[in-house]
Amino acid sequence: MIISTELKINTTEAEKIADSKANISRNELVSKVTKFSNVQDKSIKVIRPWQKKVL
Amino acid sequence: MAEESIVEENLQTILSEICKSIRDSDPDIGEKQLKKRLVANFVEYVGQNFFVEKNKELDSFLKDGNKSIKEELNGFSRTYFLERINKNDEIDYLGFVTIRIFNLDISDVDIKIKKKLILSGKSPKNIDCIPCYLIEQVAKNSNVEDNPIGAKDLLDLAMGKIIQSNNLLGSALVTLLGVNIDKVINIYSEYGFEKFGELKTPSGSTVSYQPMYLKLPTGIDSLCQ
Repeated sequence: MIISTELKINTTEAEKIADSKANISRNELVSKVTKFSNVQDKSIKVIRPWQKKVL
Repeated sequence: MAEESIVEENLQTILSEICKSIRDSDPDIGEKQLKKRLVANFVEYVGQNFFVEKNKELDSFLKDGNKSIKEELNGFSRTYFLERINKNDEIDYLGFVTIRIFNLDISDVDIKIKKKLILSGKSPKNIDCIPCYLIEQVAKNSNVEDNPIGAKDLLDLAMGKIIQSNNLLGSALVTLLGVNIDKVINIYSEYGFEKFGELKTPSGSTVSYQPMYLKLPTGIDSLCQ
């Protein structure tokens, strides 16, 4: 994507957004927070490429 | 996807670890040289291992270390990776997302409708934009054989981060610019995003993007879900 252009909405679109309801529940969203564990929290040792050699 | 084998990591941590590694090998290194080596190491170990098929702009984001690192260090955006720890205890970079705060321009919107989008008590005449979250980039690494993740996993990663930010700070809208190909737009639509506005084609690009939004749960209904 990487777009520097602005995003502008007109009145019709703004009304649609303002009056719309979420298509996703808060519970569903909260479940996504814990879907992936952080690699830093893993107890196993991970070998990083830059640990083998530093330029 | 076997979720237990997939982990997440943010770009900031990766950069921090590379910096530490460089400093450990050269404690007296100056700031300018440190930055130069940080970019070189990042491009060699992360950027060059990444290949985003069919989208040159996305493909160049990590390969041009200056761009991705500058965005991160200046606080313009945050990039998160999905990674797999392989049998050699090494990391395979499976994909990444970049998210940031974005101002949606509402300067052309009628005052009556503007009022619905802004805080009560604020004058709609003086407000021409509303803050929202932007999922700026969603990229899967085509260099990884049998890459187990899909676009939905990357969106879950992005939305997990956004909802954490939303829980702390608020804001009700997530936007993105989807590559205007039916297959891609359908993935976002199935996730809950809706189209708005006209297609955008950045100057010098052959790719068109469809603006899309997803409303986050608000109001009393969201408390009862």
